[in-house]
This record gives sequence, C-alpha cells and structure tokens, in this order.
Amino acid sequence: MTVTFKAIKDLDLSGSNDVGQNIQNKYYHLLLMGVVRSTISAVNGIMRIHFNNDQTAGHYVSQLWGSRTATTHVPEYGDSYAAEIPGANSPAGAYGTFRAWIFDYNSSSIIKVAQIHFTSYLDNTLFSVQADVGIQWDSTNPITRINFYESGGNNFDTGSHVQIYGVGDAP
Amino acid sequence: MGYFVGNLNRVKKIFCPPIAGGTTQEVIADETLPSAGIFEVTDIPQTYDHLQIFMTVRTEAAAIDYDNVAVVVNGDTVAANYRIVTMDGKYNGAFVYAANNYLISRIVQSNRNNPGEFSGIEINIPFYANNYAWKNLHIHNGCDSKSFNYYHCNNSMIWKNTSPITSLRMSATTYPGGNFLADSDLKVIGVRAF
Repeated sequence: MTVTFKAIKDLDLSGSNDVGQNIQNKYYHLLLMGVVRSTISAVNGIMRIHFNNDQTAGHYVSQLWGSRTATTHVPEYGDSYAAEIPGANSPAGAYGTFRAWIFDYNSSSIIKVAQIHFTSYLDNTLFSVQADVGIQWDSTNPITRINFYESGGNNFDTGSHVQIYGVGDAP
Repeated sequence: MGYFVGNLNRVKKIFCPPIAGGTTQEVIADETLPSAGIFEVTDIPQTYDHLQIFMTVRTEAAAIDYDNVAVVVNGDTVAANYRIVTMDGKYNGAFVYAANNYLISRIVQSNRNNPGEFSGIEINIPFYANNYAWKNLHIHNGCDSKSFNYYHCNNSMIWKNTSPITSLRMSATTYPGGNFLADSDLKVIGVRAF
C-alpha cells in the first residue's frame, strides 16, 4: 500500500506577523515542519496558530512544557498559544523548530485536533524549552486555512518558514 | 554520493538512490550492528530538508539500571556547544532535566535489564541542512529500568551552531567503550519537500 505524502507549500513567514495559507481538501492529515524566530525586542516571543482565521475563540490548548526549572502542564483556553520562540535579543542563529500533525483536517464531522512538538532556545536562566502541545479547535468545519502569527504584533524574522505536507488521499 | 555507517570496527558503504523531483522520503542509512559497536553516519547528503532517525538500541553496560546516549554532531564534542532539556515520565511521577553544557540524550536500555529489552528512539532534525539556524534535535525514547519500571523521555537537544549537519555519531555513555549491543539498529530517512 502506498500512502501519499506530498509537500503542499513552503510558506515564508519572514517580515510578517500573520501569515495564512489556504489548504486544499485533498488529504487525510497535515504535517507541518517549521523553523521560526521573532523580531521582538526581547529574548522570547510567542507564536500562535489559528484555523480558518478564527482568532478569537474556540481553540483549546494544553501544553506539557519543560525547561530548566520545571515540567509544567499549561492549559490555555480561547486562544491558540503554540510556542515560545527566540526573539531579537536571543543569540544570532537561535531558532525554534516544530513538527505538528493536524488530524482529519478535511472532515466535516470531527472536531479538529493538532499535536505539536516544539524545541527552542530560551535564555541563560531557563536554558531551553521543549513543549508537547495539543490544540483542539472546537469546530467540525474542514480546515481550509492555517494562520501563523507572532502574537506580540512583531514580525517573524528572516529565515522563518513552515513546510506543509498532505498525508493520505482524501476519500 | 556515498556515506558510511557502522561500528568502529566495521564500515559499510551504501550509495544514495538518485534524486528525483517532488516530495521524497528516502532511507539514507540502514544498519544493524552484527557485534557491539556504535553508530556513525558521515557525509550526510545535503539534498533533503529534514532527517528522521529511528534507533533500536541496548547498551553494553551491565552494572547500571539504564544508560544514556551521546549524540555528537559534526564531530563537535565540546559540551558547551549543546543544550538539552528532558521531560521524563516514570512510575512515580515526572521530572525535568536541563543543562547548558550537555550532549547526552537520556535513558536507554542497559544490559542489566531483561533479555530482549531494547529502547526505541525517534529523532527528528528539521531543516538540518540550512546555514543560518542552530540545529534542534527532537528526541523521543523510552526503556524499562530495574529501579524505575518503564521510563519515557522527550528530549530537546540544541546544537548551538548554524552549520549544516554532515555527520552524526551515537554512542552509549557508560563503560565499557560506549557500545551498543549486537542487533541494535539505526535507520536515517531523508525528507525533501520539493
């Protein structure tokens, strides 16, 4: 059995704070591979992910978050906190990377769930961070658009981009 | 283009398949140790976007309940050039381990555990071939342990260098010799988007 695995888009995020990509309904699942850094004048910024331009509510997030000081479980509701990413005050070359799965994105009956594993430099106090992030978008609508945005209103830095892959042929 | 993978006493040469257009997943290294040894992959092709690595390992150390794996990127053995944070789960809870000078991915099967018990490890290295970002290794592994029962770890390792990754060396960290046992295996898959 051969399973389709096809790159849909290599989405350049640099120079923007909100980048969306329309998604064709041709596959079962989506795989995202990303490398990101913020221009915020701080050590760390925050990247969020939204589906279908829903930036107000309906995204339920739980994180297992680890750094030097603690492993914590971080619930967040109503917004789609995805990850802390290096900012302009981080050393040059520090980027966050992530792999995300979005399951059954094309279904019209299943509430949408994404699983993300994220790794990033943080600072000299917390060292670095990794996070397993679960996002539930409380909608059965097919995902037709994914937005990545830097939630502080700053831009993603040069070199930030996300590759989107489709996995499996939709029925 | 070729590369080498194997233990220190045995080197095997495999040639990469031709590169075609479109999204590709290709096995670029596939090795099972015939005797105790380590894994070293050199001359990694720079024609992919990501590396996905699967390892099944058990180390030679017989005096400890579990062992660790050292991952050396591009021959860089300076611990200060690495960071790691690990989230561990075991029978009596969870904890975090982090260090600013560490190149060791935690917790794999040692030779003190039950016969046949190996650790499964998945390592993802996104955008390993770019020349502007530090390289992040996403590592998931687990093992049984005499003292902790089953043990699972999520590891994030950062190599603080923007150079493309051209070689990886995986060995155990405990005497004798950092060897994995025979039948330990390694697969490296290259993923290219377009």
